[in-house]
Amino acid sequence: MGRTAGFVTGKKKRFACGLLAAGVLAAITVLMPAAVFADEADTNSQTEAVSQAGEVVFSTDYPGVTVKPGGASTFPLYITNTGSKETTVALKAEDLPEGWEGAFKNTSNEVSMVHVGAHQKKEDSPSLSYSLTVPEDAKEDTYTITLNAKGGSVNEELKLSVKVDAEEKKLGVDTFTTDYAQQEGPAGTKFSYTAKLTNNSGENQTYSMSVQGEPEGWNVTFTPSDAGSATSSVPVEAGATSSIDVAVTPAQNVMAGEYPLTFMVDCAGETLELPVTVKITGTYGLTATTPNGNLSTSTYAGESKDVVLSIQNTGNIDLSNISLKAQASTDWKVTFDEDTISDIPAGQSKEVTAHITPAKDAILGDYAVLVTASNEVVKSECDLRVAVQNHTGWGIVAVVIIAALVAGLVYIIRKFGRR
Amino acid sequence: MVKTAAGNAFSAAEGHNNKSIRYHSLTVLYQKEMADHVTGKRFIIILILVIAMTIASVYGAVTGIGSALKDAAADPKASFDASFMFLKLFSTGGSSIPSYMSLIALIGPFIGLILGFDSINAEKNSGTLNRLVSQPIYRDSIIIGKFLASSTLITVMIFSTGIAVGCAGFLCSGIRPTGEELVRILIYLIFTDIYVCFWLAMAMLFSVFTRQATTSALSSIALWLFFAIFMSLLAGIMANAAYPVNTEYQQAVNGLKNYDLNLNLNRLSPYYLYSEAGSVLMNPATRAINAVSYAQLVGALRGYLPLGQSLLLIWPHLVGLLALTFAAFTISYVGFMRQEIRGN
Repeated sequence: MGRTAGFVTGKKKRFACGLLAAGVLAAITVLMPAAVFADEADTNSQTEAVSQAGEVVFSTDYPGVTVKPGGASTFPLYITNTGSKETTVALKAEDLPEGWEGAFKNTSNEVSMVHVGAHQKKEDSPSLSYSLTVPEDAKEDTYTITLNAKGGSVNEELKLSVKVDAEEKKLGVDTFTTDYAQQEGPAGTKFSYTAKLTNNSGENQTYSMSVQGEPEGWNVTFTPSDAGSATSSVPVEAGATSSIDVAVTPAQNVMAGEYPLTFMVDCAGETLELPVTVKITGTYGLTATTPNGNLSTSTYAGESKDVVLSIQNTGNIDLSNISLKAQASTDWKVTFDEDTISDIPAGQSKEVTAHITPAKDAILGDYAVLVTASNEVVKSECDLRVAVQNHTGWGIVAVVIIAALVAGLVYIIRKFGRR
Repeated sequence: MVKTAAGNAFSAAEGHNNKSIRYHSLTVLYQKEMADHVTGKRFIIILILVIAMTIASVYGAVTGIGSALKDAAADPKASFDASFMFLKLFSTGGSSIPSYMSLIALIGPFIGLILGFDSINAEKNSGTLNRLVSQPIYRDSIIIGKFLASSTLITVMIFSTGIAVGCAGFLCSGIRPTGEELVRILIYLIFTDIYVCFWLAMAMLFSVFTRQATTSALSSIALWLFFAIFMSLLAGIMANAAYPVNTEYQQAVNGLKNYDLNLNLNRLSPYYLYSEAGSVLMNPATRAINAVSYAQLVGALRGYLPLGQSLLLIWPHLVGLLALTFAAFTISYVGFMRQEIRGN
């Protein structure tokens, strides 16, 4: 304060010497604040100094704001100079109500004086701001705070109008949207939604995310695009938009159909909802096999053998009218307990017994029997390997005949041997 | 020698009952007969024959398998079945050398013929048999002892040549046998043994009923030639006469019957019976021995029969060969027992 007063008295002295001299001095003061150099600068460029006086402008984008009690507001400040003389100004805030705090800041420090370059435009202006903190007990009213930039001939004032309002309205409403709210795919697809969460509140906020309406066994994860892994909350800076990847993994045995889900974000009691739809398209699947997976069996020529087949519906749509057919060698007979299975619900299986009778003249060894289960939309084949065997009984017959031969020989030796 | 044998039998028989005399005399005759064979020049001929056969078949098998492998490696389309490789040592021949199996089917009977063709009539002619039957021994001990001694020798020959082929093949090729292969080879050698014993029984049959050893030798060789070579020709001629297949129409109508008749006539030959059984045993991929129609082959998968199933396929062959052998021996036995020997 004392320093500013000194400047004021100095200026008055120069007025006495003449307007011209005063202008020169002001220009010099802008250049070099120390009074020692005043005389030296006096002789330099008197004419220019005249046009420069009062060309320095001190401004901010939004001089009037509304702040909650206990809130804070930051005013970015710009100092422009249309003249060609450099100067340095001291900064000061006036009429600051009691309890309020204010400070001039550059990016890192508190600032009290600023250098103004020649022909400085708004974009050249050094990073400068005034941050204002309103105390909790501030009364609702409109306060005017004057910011002062003084130096040499410059005496710029900037009036800030701060309205303290406990019911401060938000500047806008937060939004939570996605481009593709309805997605579809077959069972087993991992659906991915890209949701955009915009914080329009003017304050940095952290949103917690959740999902509603997902069926049992589903898995929904939220991954902000700048985060590496799934999380349940995301911080969004004031005015910024965060992109969130929402991955929806339906249950393994999901049935075909539409599933509405609601993604929700929560912040300070406010909830945003984003309704989406997952449509699971139907897939048909049918597998014909045996209950234990063993596809080989053995039997005798002309003799029936029962093989239990397991017809499995591996899709997510119920199947009906599945007919069973078999393809085997000539004169083989293959019949089923039921030729047509009326219905197999999705994910279920049904057991059917096949009666396989090889031809009477089938040769020994392995034969292929192809069982086909199909309806009009889906088909599955099952390759059975049937080994045709000879009855072991024939081996016993052979042993009996050989024994009879030996007995016959012994008998003959006994009969003729005693000579 | 026979004289000494009879003397031994006589002295040992003293103070024993009839049954023990019978078995003791049989044992002595058996041992003496074995000694006769082993020390005779005939044995050396058989030995040379068997050794030559073994060496030739091992050489043939090893070169044959080697060239088959080379062909398979050079031509990707050619398939080489690497299963049951050890059995291939017995069933594969070289370019000009037959396999062990076909060699023994052809030459094996010779061993039986050489050992048996003069067993009775030569002794009859030299008079030793006369002296033998005058001893207090049962006459059937003579023919049983001769047959048992010769068949023991045949068994020893067959098993040593079979094992020698296996071992030499293993040394040359490095193919290791599996358990099933060893069992199959064992059964095959037993089959071979019965087959050669059949020819021994045939030769003895001729020696009982002919006076001259040369006659019985020529007769047995003639029978052997007939079964080994002419039977198949004759079967073909008879089958063609019964079911002609000269035109395409006849072929279509009679083809299967012709083949079946041909096959069944051939099976009257012990040579064919033995060869068929051997090929089923030593080639597990053989699934049928009768004519197979295309209809039966629809849906059939390439594969191997288990040993039990292979045996069930050839049990009639085993029974047939045994029956033939027993029949030949029984006839010669009865003939020998009823013959008047002292009259000579």
